[in-house]
Amino acid sequence: MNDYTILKLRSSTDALKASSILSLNKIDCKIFKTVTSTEGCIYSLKIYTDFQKALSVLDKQGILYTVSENESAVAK
Amino acid sequence: MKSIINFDNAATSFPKPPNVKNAVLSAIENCGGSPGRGGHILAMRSSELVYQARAEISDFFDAQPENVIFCYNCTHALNTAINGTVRSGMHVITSSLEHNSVIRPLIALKKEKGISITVVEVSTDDQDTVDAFSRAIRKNTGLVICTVASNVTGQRLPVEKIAQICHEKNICFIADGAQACGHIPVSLKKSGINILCTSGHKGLYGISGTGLLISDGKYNIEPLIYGGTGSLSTSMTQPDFMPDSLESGTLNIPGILSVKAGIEFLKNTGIENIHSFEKNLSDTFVDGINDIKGIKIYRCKNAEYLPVVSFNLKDIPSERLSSYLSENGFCLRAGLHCSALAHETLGTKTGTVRFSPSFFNSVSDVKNLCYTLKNASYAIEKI
Repeated sequence: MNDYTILKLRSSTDALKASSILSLNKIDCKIFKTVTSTEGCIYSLKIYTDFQKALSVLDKQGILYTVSENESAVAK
Repeated sequence: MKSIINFDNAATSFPKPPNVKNAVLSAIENCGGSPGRGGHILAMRSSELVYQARAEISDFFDAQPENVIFCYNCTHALNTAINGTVRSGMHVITSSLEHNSVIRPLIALKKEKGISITVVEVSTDDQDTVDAFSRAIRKNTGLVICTVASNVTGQRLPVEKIAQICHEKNICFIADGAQACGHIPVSLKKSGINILCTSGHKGLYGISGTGLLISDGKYNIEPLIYGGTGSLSTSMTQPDFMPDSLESGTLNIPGILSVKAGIEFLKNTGIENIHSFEKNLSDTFVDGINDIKGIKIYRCKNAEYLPVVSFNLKDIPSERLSSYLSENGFCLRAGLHCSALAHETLGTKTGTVRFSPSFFNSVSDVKNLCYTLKNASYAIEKI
């Protein structure tokens, strides 16, 4: 089972921008989508490596995110 | 079959570069999902391609990807920008060369939101124009909007200097780049423009049904259209962050990818090369018709122009002349070019014929047009 941390983002554009920037910084990540009754449709990033570095990179770019629990998420 | 030469690229560019056609075909064949609307492979693939287009366009204009808004044409972009930034009772300044897509929303807002409008007379002397804009500013001026270049005469306005004045006075500056983008470099950072609106289907060589609104993020733009965005999906209110706040509904994927391909073509060719080539075409045209008896070319020596030339020939109605040229294989637009105000300013209330070449025209095309025009006055009188 892979270790990863999930970041929730506002939109698919934010998720794609984040993914693009993190990949440029050689941080392993993947976009997926979830649906919950409270939050609706959410685009999230699974960060597999260098989590703290990832947050620092996203902060510098002004990309807003919410850190989620480290658990498996079901993509719908 | 007689060849058809398009000299009406100011309306929409044709032909398109081969990579644009390929991008559209690829989009139709491969992009089966709606971007930002699902987590399945097709939707994610479309989302990635649209994001790549956003990133390419933002790089081209020196902006951030999330501040690139896909619209259906420049008119849609301008309506979004103007309606999104105007507030009740605001004073707005614009120029005497504006297209209906600027003037008509402003006139409607005068009625709906009680705005006041000052139309600044554009001079052939840039400093006179800048001074006129500066003198027009009032305490309640909240918006300045003008074209980067006229769609009737091609005259360039001193937008960098106008932007500077706006910046000093904390006034939002919207620029209509429909005739300029793709013909000259336009950078949000270097120009100081706050919101740039442009067509995707003219100088940027995308297909029709495309336009762009590109913001520097300084001024909030209220939405024009509300609806589904694929984000904040439990909320009944529109997201307040870009691009989602200004992009409701399904995006025009083939159109967006065509604009990306068009910009790739521009980057590979070099904007300076395109500008130089097109300038040569318009200079060749002006030199080629200058000595035709009864020709009137609407240009002044000390002003700067993009490759758009308006002219008339004797007292021949512009539509008649345009028809004659069309019968001879040359497509030029006649009339008021959706810019009644510009024609009023020029004193051409019955319109002009407009020459607007592209990178895909040739010097020999232009010379052949000049030859046809030389014969026009005799040929038309005989009919």
